[in-house]
Amino acid sequence: MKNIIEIKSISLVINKSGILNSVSINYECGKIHGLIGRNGSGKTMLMKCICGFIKPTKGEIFVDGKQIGKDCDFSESTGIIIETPGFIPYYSGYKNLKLLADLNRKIGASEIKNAMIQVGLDPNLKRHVKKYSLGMRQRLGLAQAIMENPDLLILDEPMNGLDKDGVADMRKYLLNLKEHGKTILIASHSAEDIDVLCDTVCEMDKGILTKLKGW
Amino acid sequence: MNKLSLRRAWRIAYIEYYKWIVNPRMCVAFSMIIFVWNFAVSPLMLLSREMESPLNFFEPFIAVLNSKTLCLITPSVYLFLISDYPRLDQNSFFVICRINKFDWILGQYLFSIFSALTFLSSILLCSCIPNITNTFMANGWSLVVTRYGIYFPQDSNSFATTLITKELYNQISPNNAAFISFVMTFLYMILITNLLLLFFVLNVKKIGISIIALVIAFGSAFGIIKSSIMWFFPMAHTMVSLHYTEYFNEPIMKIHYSVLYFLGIIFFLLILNLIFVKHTKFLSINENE
Repeated sequence: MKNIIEIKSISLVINKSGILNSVSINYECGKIHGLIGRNGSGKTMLMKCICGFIKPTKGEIFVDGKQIGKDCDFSESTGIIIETPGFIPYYSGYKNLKLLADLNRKIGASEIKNAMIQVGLDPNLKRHVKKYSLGMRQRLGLAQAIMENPDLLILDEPMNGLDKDGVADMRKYLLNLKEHGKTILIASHSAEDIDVLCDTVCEMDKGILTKLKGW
Repeated sequence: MNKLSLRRAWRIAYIEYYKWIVNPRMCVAFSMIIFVWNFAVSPLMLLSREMESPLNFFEPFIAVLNSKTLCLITPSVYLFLISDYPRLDQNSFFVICRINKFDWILGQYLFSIFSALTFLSSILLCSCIPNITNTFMANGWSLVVTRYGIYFPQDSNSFATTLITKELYNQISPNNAAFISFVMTFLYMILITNLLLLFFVLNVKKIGISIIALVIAFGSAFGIIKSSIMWFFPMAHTMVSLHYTEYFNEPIMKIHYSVLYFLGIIFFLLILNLIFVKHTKFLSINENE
């Protein structure tokens, strides 16, 4: 199967401390790939490198055949949730997504509303995001990640703040996306999420990536 | 996706501008307006009432941007308001992943223009509008500015009479002084945002803010003592009164040299920003700090 992400021995040093240490891995298309590790182990930094937010000190990253930082600045056709999703607090959920969608104009109002419905949010809700619960913000974060129908999803702790039903919905939804051929890279602290969802699992510890399951 | 898009840059600027306007630190701008009102506008209005003679519409604005006492305040408050520029919060990641770095830089430039214009327009409106019923629009200096010291010699050295000096009213018309002050201060603010952007793309944002604060402080200090070193700093180029002597027609520094000074540095910084943005780390606010 084709690799959607190819990471070739990347290292990352910030303020003289090694964050990533010669990480190499290939992620295949159409699977859910799990990334586990303690806080500060380098999971988020690896995801940011894949997205193109940070240029690794050494090594190369290819997403869908394009080298990040050379062929493109940021990984294309990628939906992301990195850290806690942030939105403009005085706009409604729909208006926030509309602002983001207008950057590329790939989609219109119906696709935005559809994405919101899929994650269990009411697109007609006029309430400001400021008044959303943490779970609702997380759902809105997922809606912004999926609304443009990207091939790759990079999700850092997407279950944060979700209640039991929310987690179950989210799992069902992510498995459904996999069935439709999407690739998902997910970082989570929950062993159950990783167990239920992931085809492959890697562990990050002090910047070193170890393959655990499904390789 | 890699093509530069003005539309995307415009949207980025809009998002950034909205976040900036609703930022709680904007309260400082209101405090500054009250401060400016007390130290520049109100004293001029008092003189005007005392002389029973109207002010020129632009005189309070010119006083605010050319007073040696206030020259430190305007850029410092602007630096405070814009100190997290370019702002990188959790929402920014959603924006950045949909664009390319050149769009982002262009968007930040547009935002810096909007923010500088907003800040300066607020000063203009708040200094000129409250006194509008007691002003005239003709392009001449008021008797309050030019003759107060003669009518009231005992008060000729009061603070209010030093706000607009002979270097201004003997050399240049009030409309020109207001226009040039506006343009120069605008360019000064764009220069400040450019420097902030440069230090961000070099991943040394905190050090950058300290350096800019020093540039503002030393520029103002050298401007106040009129040292020739002041021309190395943007502050002196901003203050129209420093370009002239009290009586001689020949300016100390030609206005268009100052414009070239600003445009040259801004263009140079733009090039540096475009070069170094390739290596910028887009970390969140906490990580940057």
